[in-house]
Amino acid sequence: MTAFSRVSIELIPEWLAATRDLEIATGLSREEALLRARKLRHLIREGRVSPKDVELDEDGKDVLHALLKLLSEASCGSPTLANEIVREADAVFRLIRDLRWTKDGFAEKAGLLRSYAELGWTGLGTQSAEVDRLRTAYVDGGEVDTVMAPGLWRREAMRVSSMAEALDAAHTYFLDSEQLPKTEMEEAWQPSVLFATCLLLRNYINYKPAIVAERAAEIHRRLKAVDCLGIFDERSFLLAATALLAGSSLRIMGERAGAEAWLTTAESDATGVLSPLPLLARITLERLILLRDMHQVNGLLDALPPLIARFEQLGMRREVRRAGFVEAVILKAIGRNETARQKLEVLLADPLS
Amino acid sequence: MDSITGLIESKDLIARDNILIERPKSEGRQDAPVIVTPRRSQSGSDGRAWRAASTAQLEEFHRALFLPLVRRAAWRHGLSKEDARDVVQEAFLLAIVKMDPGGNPQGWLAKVVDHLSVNLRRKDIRHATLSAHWGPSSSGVVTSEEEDLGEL
Repeated sequence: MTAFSRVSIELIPEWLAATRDLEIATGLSREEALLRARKLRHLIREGRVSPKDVELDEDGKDVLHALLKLLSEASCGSPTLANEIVREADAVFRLIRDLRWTKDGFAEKAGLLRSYAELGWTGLGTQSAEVDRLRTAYVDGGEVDTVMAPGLWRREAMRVSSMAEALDAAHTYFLDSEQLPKTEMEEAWQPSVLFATCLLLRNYINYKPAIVAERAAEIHRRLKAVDCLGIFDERSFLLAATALLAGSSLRIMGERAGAEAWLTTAESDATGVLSPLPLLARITLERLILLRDMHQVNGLLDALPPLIARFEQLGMRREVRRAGFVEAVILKAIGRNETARQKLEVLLADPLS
Repeated sequence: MDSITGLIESKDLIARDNILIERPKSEGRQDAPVIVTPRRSQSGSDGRAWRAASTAQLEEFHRALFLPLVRRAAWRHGLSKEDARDVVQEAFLLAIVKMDPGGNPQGWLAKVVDHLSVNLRRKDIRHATLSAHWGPSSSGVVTSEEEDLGEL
């Protein structure tokens, strides 16, 4: 429990005593919040609200909740408005993401971000659970056609309309060419092409790690410089994914300090992702493998089982096997050959192999 | 730097203070806020008073704990602000009795507020359904039992 929550919780009896027989202020009324939300919606549409120019007060939080209600109601039964709602939801998502939200003990900001993204994804014909499932499959090393939810392809701004086209573009712009395309080139710098690029780079990681490290780092650097890419948390997801690729490839090359730095970057970038658990679990596994590479095996055998359990919980079967293999290798390294053999036999019996 | 509401208000909307405002339930007008001061009347007969929270602490409590839970009940569960306030106060009462201080108090409170909000919504819906079927307006005839219920 944090110091903040402990102090707050201890105040409950005093709060109840102090507020007995009093009517406690509850912030804006629903009607007032909705009224202001309509005005805010208008200002956002006109591009007159920048997170740099505003700070959030308690009434403002009510207004953001009210705006979500307004947009949700506007999207109901109006398929023709879907793209407009997605754009609006994305604009509010960015505003909230960049607003400073102090002492958010109930994760209210994350909840609102999630709700706005759910609204937008629904507008694109995709459920947020499906987006989470496909991204988890991506982090787990799934097949190329499982990278993005089908609905996301229908996005107005998309220049490619299928995964095959995205893979072609990824080859052309990010792998075959000597230099990366300029970020102004919208056809190349769109999320679907970048997702496909990450998939291709991951496939190369074991036999061309130097190329993967160089490309992933460069894409990450360019993404950092771009303020706006894709909708909702796609930029954050791609930043974390490329940082993870750079870290993993440097680890394979034996550049441990560089790997460590990139994994830290990946962790930081993953905090902007709506469902960061699959990414964070992958990053943790890379860190543990890095420690094993440095022969720091103390504590690894304690750390791996909960991580494997987390992978199982997330349905990441490839990572379960990978972590299981690392566990067996460590067991062998410390002389527990019989246990290591049993672990490997379990892995061999897995139908995924 | 403007607040979001300040930004909106600057476009000719109503301004309103958002600090912890309190007023006695049966006194004063809605727009006459009074800043709450902690009571010290809770001391025992031996004159030993329990630690009284400062106004600043209560304001911080109001901002960091009370209001987020009220917004949760109001916007996520569609309650009026008044109902949301009652739900949160009930959750605090339950917390004194049932909450494990060593656990995750914020998670616990959020869950209890969710449960209480859902229960209240269900109760409201049930009440509305029953009223529609059995209330005075359904038959146009008010029975003596309904009159009694109304008085209750």
